[in-house]
Amino acid sequence: MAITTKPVRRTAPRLPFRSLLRDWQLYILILVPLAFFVTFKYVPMFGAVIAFKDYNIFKGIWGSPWVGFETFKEIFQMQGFYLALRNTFMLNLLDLLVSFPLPILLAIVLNELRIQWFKRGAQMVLYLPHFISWVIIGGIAIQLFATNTGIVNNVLKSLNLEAIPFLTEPVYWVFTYLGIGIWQSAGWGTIIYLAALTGINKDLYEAADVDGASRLRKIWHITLPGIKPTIIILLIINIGHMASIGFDRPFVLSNPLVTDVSEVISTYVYKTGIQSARYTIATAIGLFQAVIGLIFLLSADLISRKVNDQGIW
Amino acid sequence: MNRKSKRWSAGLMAVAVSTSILAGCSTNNGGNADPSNQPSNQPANPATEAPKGDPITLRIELFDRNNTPTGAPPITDNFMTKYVQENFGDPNNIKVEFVTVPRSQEVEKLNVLMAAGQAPDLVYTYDTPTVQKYVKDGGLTDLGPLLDQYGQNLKAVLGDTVLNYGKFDGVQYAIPARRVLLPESTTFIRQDWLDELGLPIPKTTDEFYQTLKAFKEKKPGKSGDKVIPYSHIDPFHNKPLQYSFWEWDKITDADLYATPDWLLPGNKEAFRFLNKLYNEGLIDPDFPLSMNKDEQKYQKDLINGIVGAATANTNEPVYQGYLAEVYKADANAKLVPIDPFTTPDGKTPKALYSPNGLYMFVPKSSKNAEAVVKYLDWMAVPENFIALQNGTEGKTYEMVDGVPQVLDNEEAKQTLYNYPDYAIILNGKLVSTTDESLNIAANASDPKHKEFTIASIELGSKDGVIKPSVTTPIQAEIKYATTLKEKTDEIFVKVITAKPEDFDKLYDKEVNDYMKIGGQEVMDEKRQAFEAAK
Repeated sequence: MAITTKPVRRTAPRLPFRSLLRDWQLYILILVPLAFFVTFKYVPMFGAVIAFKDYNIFKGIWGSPWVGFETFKEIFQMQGFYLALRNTFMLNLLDLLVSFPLPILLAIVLNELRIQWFKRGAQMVLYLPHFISWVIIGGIAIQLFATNTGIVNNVLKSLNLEAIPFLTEPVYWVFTYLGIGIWQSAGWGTIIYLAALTGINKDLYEAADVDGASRLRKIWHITLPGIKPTIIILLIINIGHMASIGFDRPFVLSNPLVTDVSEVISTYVYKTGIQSARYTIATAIGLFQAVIGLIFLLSADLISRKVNDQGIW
Repeated sequence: MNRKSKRWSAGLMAVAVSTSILAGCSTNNGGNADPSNQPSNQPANPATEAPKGDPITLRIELFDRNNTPTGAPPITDNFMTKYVQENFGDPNNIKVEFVTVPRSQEVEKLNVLMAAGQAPDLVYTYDTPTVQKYVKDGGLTDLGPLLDQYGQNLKAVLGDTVLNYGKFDGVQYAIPARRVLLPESTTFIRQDWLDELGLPIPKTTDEFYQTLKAFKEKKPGKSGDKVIPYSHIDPFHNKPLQYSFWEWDKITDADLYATPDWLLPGNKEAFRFLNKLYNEGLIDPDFPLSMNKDEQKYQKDLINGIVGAATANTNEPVYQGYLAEVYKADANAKLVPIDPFTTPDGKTPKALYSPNGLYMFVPKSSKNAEAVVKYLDWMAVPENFIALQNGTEGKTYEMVDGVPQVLDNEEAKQTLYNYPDYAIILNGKLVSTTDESLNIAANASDPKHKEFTIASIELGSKDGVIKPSVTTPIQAEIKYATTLKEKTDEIFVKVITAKPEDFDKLYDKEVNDYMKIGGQEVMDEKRQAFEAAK
């Protein structure tokens, strides 16, 4: 490199370097986050080769023999894997349908509130669950929703109603899972929308007032189009996460009676990969998951570009 | 210092000199420093020769159970670690360092440490598949020759039976701890409830069932509507009940070793019985939510006086202290160990632990295998294991009839709460290798509940069965153990909570699934291994 660039630098104008020289402080500043991403996001990616090796912890990554796609073949023969994959998609899809629109609705409602102290208070109450650890939420869920001893069912029983198996019947469990998810994260999800809402030009609302637009009309024609780009970006990102799922929520809420619907990829990897020290399996599933996620993300982006002329890049 | 500093003459760097002199100071109480002209950069040879050169650092795994009482010193710097350093480390010129690993994640953490090549010199785990995997991957040191050379005391305490559990393909890759007491679990019942209802102690499965029904109907004591006649339902603690339903005359040793419990003759009836208990409201109706996840739930219920009977780890109510809590919460309460689960011919078969405890081993990356064996051998001297299990005589324990009796004082509580994590060669208290009754007495750690302990151990051992074992690693088991354990939990709760009319269909379907996801492979391989080992 050095040999070939030297003569070039003497003859050619130094155009590409001029901005670098001028803004060198900025470039140094960006080096820090860049180093972070290289060290913690890109370097560990080399670990993905474990998926193609018969990884022996004592021989290390390079010392272990290559096995090609054997691990993937094994995974695709595992019954539990398909179940986990199906549940991951199912829970994520339902979550998207239910939990995605709610923060938008909440943000708009909060935005319409005129009494400042009430708005602040309501926002605060809605955020709070976000800061509670899932382990604690899991404990609360059992106290509240246990079929025979939970508070909710005790009330139902005292009213001579049938107890509802919130946590022990697969179908009810899915509802409980979704409901608790909404309770925990909907308030927090409003933050981005509220920020986007403040960016809408106030003149538009005033003009609409002059024209005699009703409140709902204003929401429909000004507020919603105003936050549309934000909604689309968040939707694409969410779709990109279709194949991946958090670990804590399904893990703490599940119990052996509902594993048919509660076993998802993250918990499955934990059990078959990490707990049994089969790192090859864990890595291969992780890699598979990343590839699926990428496909989803790119296709959502593509569709959005076609339909809305707007994507994330 | 004069005598010692002579040894440093052989061309050492200044830095090395200063550190070595410091080390020399701390080994003064060894008192047998021999002036010699050997260069000091040779590896120190503990126990047999005089300390010389830099001390080696021996790193030892230590479970962190997160249970240090308030006011007690940290687990890496307390009476135990000081005792080890002063009595083993200093005389041998070894610096002993304890490396903590969280108890609940020990296997995961150990795997990471092993993979990173940073595992301590002496590591241990209870998990057999993990050890087998390390052996298979070639990551462990052969301890056989070292044991022959340096481990005479250790061999005497452990005995050949125990040591054989640490041999894989004939090689001593691991040293198993000796389990002093073999019973797994014992059932107990509220004597005061029985008295209140005028019932005798149940002696058969049927009497037990009738007693539970009476508890449910009459709600004795302070229980009320929340009464749980029989609690602590999980696959491990229900073994005495399960074993009593097995048709033992149809089960060979090979079956007992290789066939999953689910397929053993009679097992289905055991679960039909549990299913009946569930559907009649005689066991904790929400047990699936806390099973294997929240042990506190059952203990809380027991302390709150709503549990009538339960099966727990033998003597656990005493050593975990919740028996005392029960008595504190209700002055009338009285728990007595019972042995109610009977076969048609009146036997009470139940599972016993195999006589080995955790596996101790040395990763290949360690250079201190010799020091590890010497450390364990040092620990096997009665003076040392008695100190590590009981503390200081006169301060934390007293000798009564040849048995160390732990004193009920603050210092004992702060010193001994995690002693098994240091005295790792033993699982349970040991006093004598010959007199078993002394050992039972030694394990009645709380003199106030001595009777409960002794009865628990006796009833927990009666007609006990140790499952046969084969040392060949079972590849399929290494692969599927976790998955199958999960599946076992799933079947367990599903068949117990099923509607009685669905029970048969569900049981067969679930067990079929179990065999499909690996159960069959494990069984076939185990059967082969058992035949081969004969």
